[in-house]
Amino acid sequence: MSSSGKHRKNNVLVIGIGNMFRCDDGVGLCVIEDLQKDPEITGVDFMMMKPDGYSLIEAWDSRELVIVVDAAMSGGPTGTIRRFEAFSESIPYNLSPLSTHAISLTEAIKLAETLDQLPERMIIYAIEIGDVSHGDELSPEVGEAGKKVTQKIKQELQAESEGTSEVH
Amino acid sequence: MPNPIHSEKKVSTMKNKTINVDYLSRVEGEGALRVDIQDNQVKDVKLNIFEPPRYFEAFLRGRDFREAPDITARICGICPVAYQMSASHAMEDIAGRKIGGPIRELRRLLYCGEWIESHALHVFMLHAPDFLGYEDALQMAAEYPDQVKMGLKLKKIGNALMDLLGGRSVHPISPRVGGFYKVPTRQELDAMVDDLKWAKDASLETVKWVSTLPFPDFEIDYEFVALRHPDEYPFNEGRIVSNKGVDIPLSEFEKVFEEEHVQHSTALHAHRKNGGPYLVGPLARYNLNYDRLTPTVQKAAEEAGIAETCKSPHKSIIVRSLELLYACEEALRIIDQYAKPECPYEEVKPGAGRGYGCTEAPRGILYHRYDIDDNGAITDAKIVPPTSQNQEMIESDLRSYVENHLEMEEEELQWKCEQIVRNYDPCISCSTHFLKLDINRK
Repeated sequence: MSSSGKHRKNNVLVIGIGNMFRCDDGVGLCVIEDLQKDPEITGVDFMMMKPDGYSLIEAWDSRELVIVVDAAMSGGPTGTIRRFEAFSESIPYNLSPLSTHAISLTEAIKLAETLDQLPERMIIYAIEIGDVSHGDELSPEVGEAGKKVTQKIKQELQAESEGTSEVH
Repeated sequence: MPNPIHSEKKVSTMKNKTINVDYLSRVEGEGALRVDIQDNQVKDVKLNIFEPPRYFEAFLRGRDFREAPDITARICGICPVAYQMSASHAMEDIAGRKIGGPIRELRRLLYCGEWIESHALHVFMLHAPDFLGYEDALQMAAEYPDQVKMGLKLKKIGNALMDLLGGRSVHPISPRVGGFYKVPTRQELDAMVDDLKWAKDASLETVKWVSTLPFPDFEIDYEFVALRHPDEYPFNEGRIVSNKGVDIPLSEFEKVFEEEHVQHSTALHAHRKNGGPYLVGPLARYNLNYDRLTPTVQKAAEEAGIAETCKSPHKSIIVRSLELLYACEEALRIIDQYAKPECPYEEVKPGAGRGYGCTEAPRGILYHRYDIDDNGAITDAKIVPPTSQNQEMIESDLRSYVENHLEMEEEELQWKCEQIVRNYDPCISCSTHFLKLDINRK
């Protein structure tokens, strides 16, 4: 049995995970919005999604590079940015604690690894958030962290296109 | 060989026991279960739904009738289409309108997408691990990678169908009272055909696979309640019927069934007035509508050993797989016969009045009733989701199972109780308006 692919995919995919109506939880989506507006970035696919690990596996299968921006609540200072090379570093199990109805990002990576459906490389940016009440405003610390992550991802994409990927 | 995490060994036990599941896994939403056993008799079984009440019925009041499909879709991320369909049909009922032709067919197609997505998730990721002795699909994937991949791909195809018809797969934005804001082109639907043909073959394989799973000897004499349509396996239309005498139009639902608040749950419990619990969902639909299934599905059911009737809640995994097969075939039929409507919707302008909508969500009948005023503002709303209808039946199943397995080892009994709850694919988020397991022996 086979299933035909309908759309040609770019090799690089940047995914923002979150809920834009839960204040700081929307930071990953804001980063994607800013990157999409940047005319200097081409040949990259973007995706904004709610925390649904099953859909993540579908999205990143057979990509060369996937960058994921997600909110984290690990108890650290709000606005803290952490970067993980997903296949060479240990990722905290509760990185996406806001998933309630589906598997988390870390579980999705584990499942995709078992099923041999991981991309070649995956970078995860986790932004420590504070306010997850109802609303669409980011707290100042998280808004600032989002801007920094946008710049960092831009540099990652540039390095990837020049074949000079570097670990920050 | 898989590593069963719970063995079937039985041990002698104390007379009194409490089984506690503080947080039920692989169910949609949050709930718990407590079983009290005293002097080797089941004293009490309680599903404790602690997800907070949602108050949707209250905040629909004062809103325009056209907003009901979008507002109620927010009740559930797994079955938003069901809410949109029941709400739309209720508003059209107030206006005395019946939407037919290609728009009706597209509504059935959208429902096919939701059934494929929801059933694939439950069969492969949530339910199958129970029969194979795995904690979850992540563990199962190491030994059954092909099945997990198949499940994910089926789910993806269901999502794609919802994306195409609904604008997006979670909380679709295209459905509206009277039809859709936008309908697909013939070419866009044709592009789904190869995937749906794959999905049909995969569903047939799924039926064959799940029918080989080890099932306990446990059957219940249920009162099944589902929609029944003169010609179709039910999605959007039909009378509400049961195998124990109910045959009513939607408008009589509240005369025959009632909801009751129980202290231990934030979800209302539904039952027959002056009667007991009843079952909605795949098993009910299947037992009441077997003759409406396609020859392909009936043949697959026959080969799976459950032709015409199935009273085993555990075998609901086979029935869901048969419904997956049906949804794929039905989707292909609709696409094959599709002719794009000139207008994506029919204008519906209801006056003041009361209307009813009841459609078959993946988990069973979803009943909506609305009153609107002369300005089209909603003055009263009632929503009865499938999981709240099934709650009392789940408690009844648990009572029957525990009563027959009092000698079972504590850990094993707890595991079996959790499985019984998962047989129902309960959507707790929908019903709160639900799960954790406690078995107390005294």
